[in-house]
Amino acid sequence: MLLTKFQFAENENTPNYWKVTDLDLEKINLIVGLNATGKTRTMNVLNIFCSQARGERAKLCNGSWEFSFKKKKEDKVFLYKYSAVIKNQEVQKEQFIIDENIVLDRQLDKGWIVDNEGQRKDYDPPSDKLTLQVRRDKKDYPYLEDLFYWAQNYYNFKLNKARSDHLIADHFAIDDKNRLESFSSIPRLLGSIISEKNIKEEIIKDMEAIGYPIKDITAKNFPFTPVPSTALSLTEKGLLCETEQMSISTGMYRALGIIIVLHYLRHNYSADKNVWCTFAADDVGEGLDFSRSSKLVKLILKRTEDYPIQVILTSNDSHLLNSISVEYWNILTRKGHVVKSINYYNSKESFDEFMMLGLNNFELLSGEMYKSRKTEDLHKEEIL
Amino acid sequence: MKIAIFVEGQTEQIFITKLLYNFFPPEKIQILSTRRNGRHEEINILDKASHAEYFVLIYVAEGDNRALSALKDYYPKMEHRGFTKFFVLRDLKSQEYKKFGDAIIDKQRSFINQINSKKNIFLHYSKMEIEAWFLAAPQLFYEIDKRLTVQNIKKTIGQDLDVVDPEIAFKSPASEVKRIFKSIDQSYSKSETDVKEIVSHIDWAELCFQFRGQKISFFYDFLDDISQIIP
Repeated sequence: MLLTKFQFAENENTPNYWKVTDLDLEKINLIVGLNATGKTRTMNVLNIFCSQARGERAKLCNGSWEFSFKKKKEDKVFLYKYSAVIKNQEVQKEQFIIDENIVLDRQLDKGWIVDNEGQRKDYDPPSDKLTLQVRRDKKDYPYLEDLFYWAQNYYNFKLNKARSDHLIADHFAIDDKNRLESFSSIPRLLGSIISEKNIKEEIIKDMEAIGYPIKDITAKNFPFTPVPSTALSLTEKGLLCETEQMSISTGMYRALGIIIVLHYLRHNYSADKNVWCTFAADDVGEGLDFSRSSKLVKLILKRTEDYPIQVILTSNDSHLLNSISVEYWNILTRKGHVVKSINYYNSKESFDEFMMLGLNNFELLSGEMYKSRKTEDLHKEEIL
Repeated sequence: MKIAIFVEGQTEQIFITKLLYNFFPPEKIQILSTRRNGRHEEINILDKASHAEYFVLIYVAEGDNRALSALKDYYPKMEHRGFTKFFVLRDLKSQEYKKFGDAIIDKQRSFINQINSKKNIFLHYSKMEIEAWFLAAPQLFYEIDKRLTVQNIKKTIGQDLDVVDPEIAFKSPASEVKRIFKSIDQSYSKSETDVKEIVSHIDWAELCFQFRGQKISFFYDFLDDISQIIP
């Protein structure tokens, strides 16, 4: 299932009001924007919704969430729209629409829900839980399962926290989502897939492609911690010795971590499984030099191309931006409390015009060439 | 006279350098190349003293549509420092060309016109890539390896290079050059060595004069404009 649109607002009618709107998404997405426009916050609120949908939060987070998805089932494409308004950690409103038909409508602890047979039933969910936390049933409510699986398979990587000297004890299993996303379990992740056919060779090839020539990589027990843990070790081309994880540079470790994660996701979400996952990474070029950051992004796109993996990245690195077509961009612009996304879907004319000019992509952002009368009007509407 | 030429890659830089050295007496011209330097795209040899009457600076923008952006950014500064003619040579092998076709040429020319009040900027294209111009003069392949006759090349790529216009016939001329070299177990990777090897075998008299009106019209348009600076 592919996320196609996202909107979020919080603290309405208060000085802390904040809204992000018109985020249109495709299989590949790059969220760009100048500093303090809301890139990281947008990624955070997406991640927060997923974690509460998975039931990982003791209390719900306040805010108004609106999602649109494309769901393919047996050659038919369904349009899902899901929204939830949470205030004081209670669900004020929740609605699920499939192709214009409302299948779930709820206010606080009263509502109705339509099952797979088309039967409408009243239900009384606890107001501090989302419906998908209390009505999961693959047979009766498959659309709620679709939403749950989307959240379940949403991986949000915080690259700025990835450090080679962070090790994780072996008794934390890698199937724990938080551990996977933290990067600390990269060595164990590698250990779990390295024996698969060609994966080790592919990882070495990918590292070479982005400018880190290595000839070997292993995951092995790290002897210097009080509890058993696993660490990476690699051999760079031209060096006779191994480089232990703690000595790998931060940039190289982040690049290696992303490559290992990509192979892990490719292994677990192969095209025939029909289950999609999301690879989300904030500030994806962080810690890498200019050449490697753009090579890494090109590699991410290539490695996810034929796989059911939706990619959502953020950056404002000029070299990285130049390597992704502006058709995949969401440019966040902020006016006051409202963050509006300008993209190919809502500003096709400006984007086409820019693409025809043949300038490098970064100029679209730095020269504010995405601005047109129409996009200015969109912002005015929000403010009014 | 100071002349600036903005290109997307090394292949264009090597080709243009060789082209100019063919037309200028060596004592009259100095050609320097500079590449985009990491995150800092400063052209740092602008003030380098030139002994020659003609000083040509070729700026290699390293792809990703940077050549035109670089011209836009550097034009005022370079003009201020005495550069009097500006050329941009780029290819058309892009997603944008696939999407919009020849309309992008008009669009880009009208964009340049907005800053070109002195009519000293010349925007040119190699269609689809500069390798199309290599393919226009197939004798060079024969000079490299005697097995690469036009007939043998036709067997490999399915086109008679004495007949077709490579600017029209090939969507990816570089790939065709690769196939030609692969047929004799050699490779073409666009590396400096590979490109210099090919360019060194170009018969410039043939390329510059013999095919006019028959093929590679984009090359002759470029040649006509660049000829303006030839003494």
